[in-house]
Amino acid sequence: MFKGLDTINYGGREVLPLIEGGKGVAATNGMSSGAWAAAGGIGTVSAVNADSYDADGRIVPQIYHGKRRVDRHEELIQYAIDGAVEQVRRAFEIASGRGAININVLWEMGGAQDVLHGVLEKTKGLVAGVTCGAGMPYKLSEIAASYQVHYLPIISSARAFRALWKRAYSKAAEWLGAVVYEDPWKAGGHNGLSNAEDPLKPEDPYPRVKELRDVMRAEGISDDVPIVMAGGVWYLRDWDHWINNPELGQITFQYGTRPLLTQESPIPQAWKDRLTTLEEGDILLHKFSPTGFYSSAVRNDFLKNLEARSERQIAFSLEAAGDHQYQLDVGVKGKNFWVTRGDLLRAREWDALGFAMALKTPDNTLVFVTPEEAALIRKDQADCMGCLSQCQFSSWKDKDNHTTGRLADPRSFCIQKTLQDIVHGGPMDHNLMFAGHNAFNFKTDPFYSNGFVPTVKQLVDRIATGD
Amino acid sequence: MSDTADRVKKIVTEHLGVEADKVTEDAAFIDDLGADSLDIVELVMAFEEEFGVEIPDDAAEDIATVKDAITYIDKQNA
Repeated sequence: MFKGLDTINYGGREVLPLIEGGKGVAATNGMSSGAWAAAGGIGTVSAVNADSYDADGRIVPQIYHGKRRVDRHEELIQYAIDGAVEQVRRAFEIASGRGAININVLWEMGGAQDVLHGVLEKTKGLVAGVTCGAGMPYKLSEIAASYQVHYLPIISSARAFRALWKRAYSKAAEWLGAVVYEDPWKAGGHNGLSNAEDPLKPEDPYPRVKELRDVMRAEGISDDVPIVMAGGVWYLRDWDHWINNPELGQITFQYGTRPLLTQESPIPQAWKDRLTTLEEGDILLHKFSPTGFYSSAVRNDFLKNLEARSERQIAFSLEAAGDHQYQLDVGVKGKNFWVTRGDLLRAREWDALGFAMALKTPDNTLVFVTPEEAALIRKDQADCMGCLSQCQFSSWKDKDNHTTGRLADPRSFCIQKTLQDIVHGGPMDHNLMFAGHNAFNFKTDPFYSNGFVPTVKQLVDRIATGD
Repeated sequence: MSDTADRVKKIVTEHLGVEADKVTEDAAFIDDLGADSLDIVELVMAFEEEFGVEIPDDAAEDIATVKDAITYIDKQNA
């Protein structure tokens, strides 16, 4: 029998130990997070390029006018600040003093620090904390503390927390609100899988969270500072032994995927409909993201296309050397591409199938695409608005000379374009659809039978029963 | 080879679990030695401890190769 949940004290507020995971772009907004807070939990506004509205309440399309990437990057920062501030205000109004509102940023989004400063400056008193992952967000603690809000780093290993704590967070210990352990094998969106872990060998979260608590204890952090278990959490009854477990200290739970299917969820109906059709295994942990991080999303045509593109890949040399004794005669202009005999034959086959253009990657390989695909890749790279700190797809960098110095990588994609498109009604099969690996439960969980779509309040109440 | 170079290489070899002969001065942590961003942070922390220097985040971002680390540490200890 499920032992139930006790409320926790979060920055002086009594809240349920249930957090709505922030999901950019615009997949958690003021409406969803305000409703989550109103239900007694901690709602999270995604401050990653959130929507803002015109005087008539219509979403302002994020169109870029600058001729240079760096100019568009500045526009993007302004869009991000305006959008997040608007969403926080809406969330706060809906919450009406219940629960708490956090914001979430991707540390490696372009201009992350500027966005954080801009949003926190304009939302004083409205935001309780900032969750932040992707990369090593050292300055998160300093920025959060300067606005007197909590910070909740999202990490996927005790190693990462130890490094962050020793280098930065210990200087702002009092503002550490919680530590989010995001299971890198189960969570949707970007995750913190490092070289030390095998993407194909999921690890039990319990010992990893226990190790995290041990590190926190060794650093003198109270057991009252929650660890937020995120990724792969669906039925809380499955986590009963985690609750009130002295070995783990205070545990709370974060939900990323389940809140996608609520009445207040801002994602399009087609996306919601698609969620209810997913089968186990339909979510792919992959490394196509231009951030360079692993991430998990629905294995739809968009991802299958990227997988196929990467399979149509061969190594080359600029002169005959080693196994590369055969001159490539398809896909490229010029004669300076030397490949193996086997790869030459494969390339000719791809060419015959219409994949007649070879694009260079930063790893001295070529990928074969159709001319139409090549044109689209080039256009997307040219249209880059600098949405990441470093982008593998476009080679943008948000500082110094604004380039990573590496070739733009055609095996990746413009993440800003696709995430904006899918959340604003673009085709589900031709865009990146982030989701956690347990999304198949929408089809099997009786809560959703007969097409039932709960309100956020109904969902939170349901979760609190253990189901 | 300087004392700093020897000690830096030893730390890199042990931490990344790579063969010692791969840890040349020109070796890049990420591209040549297979490090990820977390490895680099831990290396920087190990250098700080070993050499008693402070390597701020901004400086750490510029340390991409074994030689970068040696040069930075030598400069701090000069």
